[in-house]
Amino acid sequence: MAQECKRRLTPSTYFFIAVAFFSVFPLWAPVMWNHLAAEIFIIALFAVSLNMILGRGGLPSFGHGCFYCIGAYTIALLTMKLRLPFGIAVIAAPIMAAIFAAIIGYFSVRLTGIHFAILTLGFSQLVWAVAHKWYGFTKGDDGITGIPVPQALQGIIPYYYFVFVILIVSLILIWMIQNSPFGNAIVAIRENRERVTFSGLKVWHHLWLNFIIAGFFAGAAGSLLALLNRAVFPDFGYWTKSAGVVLMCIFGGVGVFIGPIVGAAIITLLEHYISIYTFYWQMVLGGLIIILVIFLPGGICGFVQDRLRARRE
Amino acid sequence: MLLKVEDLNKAFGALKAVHHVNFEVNEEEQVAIIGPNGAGKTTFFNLISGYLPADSGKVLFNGEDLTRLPSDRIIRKGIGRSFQIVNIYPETTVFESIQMTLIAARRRSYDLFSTAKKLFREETERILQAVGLTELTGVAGGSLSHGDKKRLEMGMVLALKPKLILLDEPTAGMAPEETMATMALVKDLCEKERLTMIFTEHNMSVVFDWAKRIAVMYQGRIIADGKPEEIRENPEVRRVYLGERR
Amino acid sequence: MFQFMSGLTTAMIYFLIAAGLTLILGVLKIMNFAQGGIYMLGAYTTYTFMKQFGGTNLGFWLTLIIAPTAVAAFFTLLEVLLMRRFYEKVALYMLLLTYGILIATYDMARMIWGWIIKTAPMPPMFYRSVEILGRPFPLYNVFLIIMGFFMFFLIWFLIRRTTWGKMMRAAADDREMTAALGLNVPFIFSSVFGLGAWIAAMGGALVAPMAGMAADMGIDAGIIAFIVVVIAGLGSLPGALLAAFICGQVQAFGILILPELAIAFMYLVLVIVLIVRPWGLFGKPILIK
Repeated sequence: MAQECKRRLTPSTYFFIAVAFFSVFPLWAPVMWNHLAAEIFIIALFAVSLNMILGRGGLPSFGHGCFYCIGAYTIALLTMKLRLPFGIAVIAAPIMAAIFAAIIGYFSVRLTGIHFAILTLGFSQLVWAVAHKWYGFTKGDDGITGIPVPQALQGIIPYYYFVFVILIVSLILIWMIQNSPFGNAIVAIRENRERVTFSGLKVWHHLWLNFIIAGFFAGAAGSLLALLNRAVFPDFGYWTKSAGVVLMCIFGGVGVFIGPIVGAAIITLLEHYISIYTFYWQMVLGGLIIILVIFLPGGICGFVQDRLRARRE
Repeated sequence: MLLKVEDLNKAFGALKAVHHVNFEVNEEEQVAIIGPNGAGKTTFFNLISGYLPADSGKVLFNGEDLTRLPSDRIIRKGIGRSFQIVNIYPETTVFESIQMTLIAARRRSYDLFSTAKKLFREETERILQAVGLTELTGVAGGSLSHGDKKRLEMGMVLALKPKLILLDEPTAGMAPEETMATMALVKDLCEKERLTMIFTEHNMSVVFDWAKRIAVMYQGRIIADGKPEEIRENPEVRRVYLGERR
Repeated sequence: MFQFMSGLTTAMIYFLIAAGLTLILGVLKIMNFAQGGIYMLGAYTTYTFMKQFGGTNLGFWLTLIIAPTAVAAFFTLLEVLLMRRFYEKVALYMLLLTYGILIATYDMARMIWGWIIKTAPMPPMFYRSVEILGRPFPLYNVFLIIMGFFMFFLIWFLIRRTTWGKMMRAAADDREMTAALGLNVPFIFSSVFGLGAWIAAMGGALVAPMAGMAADMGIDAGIIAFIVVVIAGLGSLPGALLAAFICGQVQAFGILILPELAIAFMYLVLVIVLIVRPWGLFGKPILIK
């Protein structure tokens, strides 16, 4: 599934170029593009967080949307119902998602493969069902709208920078974690669980912690989206959202750090532009998936990596 | 006495894989366990290392009761194990595999913020030198030759700094020269690091050339245990092995 | 009591969606997300055919024969063209592929039949109600329940008593061995897939006159099928019936207790089963570390 665990070190230069480019982006881009870019940043963070479980851990999580949803709802409910200050709510959202990830992960991480997929899917649907139906608490289908945003962040340009900074910080953190001894352990577990156990490590413990961290960042992404659109809806957590983000990771390439980012960006852009021309975006997406699965199993980044390697030889 | 097995039992349905086994190993001993296929040797290793739970009986290591412990705890107590079918990381390089095992052994696996690449580099080099893999540090585990894979596995076992190592058919599938080299290496390492070793083998020449003590298992029981000359003369052993001697 | 019958009806619908899936899961070992889409297309094609036949009784029976078969044939073709190469690969790709097919069929349905909710005409012979314990109950629902049981026995018979069924079970247990024995495994797999699709399409066909249909019924149905199958134990047909029954009743009575959270109850059952017994009620235990 994962093409290779050995990552080519993303040269810092590319990173700095990208950061520089996007730092000045809003100054010349039209407003709608800023909104779209912010959205892509958020979804990219969501996808990278999933890839911690999917690509690095080798576990197909089909319930990651649940943490996204919880992050979004937490910030909405805390600011609107409890009227907590923004600062607290923003920190509480990913923590809440992490708590749920701890509970769900505790049960899920003991399983592998399709059983893992099913259990994560089941849990996330449970969360969705509650969000969808508990009208009194979550306003059900209608969602929650009119989420307050602090003065400083109102307006798309300040918010863009807010999201951008959080994205960069999160990506750096995730990168560090993935390259840490812990990150290596996760990859080792993916390659050979038995050997890891026979090196004296508790496999499920590590997978559990990994799951929680991934859930934390997914919750952060969700809360950012809630603030961007000033609204949350239960379908943030519907299983198709989870399947969609899995798709983004695979499309971009699960073996590469930027793979999920590329996948998220391309699919979000496609969705945005194709929806302008046709109602039937799902069909296009479906076709895309079919093509992807048949022709590009390593995802786009995997494909590029293979080409580069072939050229080097 | 390093390892003491008391009345160990494991059955799979009607099949008594390990049956009332009593066994002792002292420090720095090198024992071979032999027996025909299906005698229960691998199951025995599985029970000691916690891979399978025993039905009854005890496994005592350094006086501690290991019987109900999970594998990872047992490994931490100082037992290393290699497998019949080589158990390594297929896509990680040789260097990183050893590095990873060191990270695990030195309890750094929960470290979220150091850079893994930088840790334990000298020690990894040392181990690679000891097992003779210094030429192959950048090769992925899955691409190694069979003999090199076994060396890698040996290196990973050593990285754990065990007191007792269980080697399940260390020379399986090897050509004669490679077998000699492997056993020489293993013997050398055991003496240098003062390890106690139990190994299973099918290759009789390896066993009789290298082991100072041999235990024979048959249908889950240990039917003989002693010096090679004694085993060679033992009538029951001869009966069991009739037709299977090399 | 009425609630019970209503639950039974729901249960039968769930069963029909899930039975095909459990068959496919058991033999082909893939999680077919597209199953819900097949169900949905079964309903829509039934609608079209019945409209063509003018909503007559004869038209209904004809449709029941033609529509599911057509839909099943279409999906079997998809299986041959697209899915075959993925049986041996990592499960994830197959999951994505079937998901892709699901959402493609979702839009396809919207494209062909539009966005408004449609209902197939009810065949005149079912314009009546039956008295059950003093309360009127639609005859069509009774018919549906009977059909559900009939399908169960039909499939059971096919699996247990025919040569084809034997081949299927062999292929499910050990694909390589079966191929080594000279049996045409791809053909077996395709036929199993076809049968699974046919059952789901039949489910959709039977539902068509009863309730309104919208393209997203496929997506919701898919998730329900999945829940039932998981509770049942992957590959177990009687399990599917029992699990469908449980879900149907949970749904029916859940509405009485806490209408808002009726669906959540079902997911709760799922989660509890998965925690306590991840291999389902009738499945084979899997190793847990």
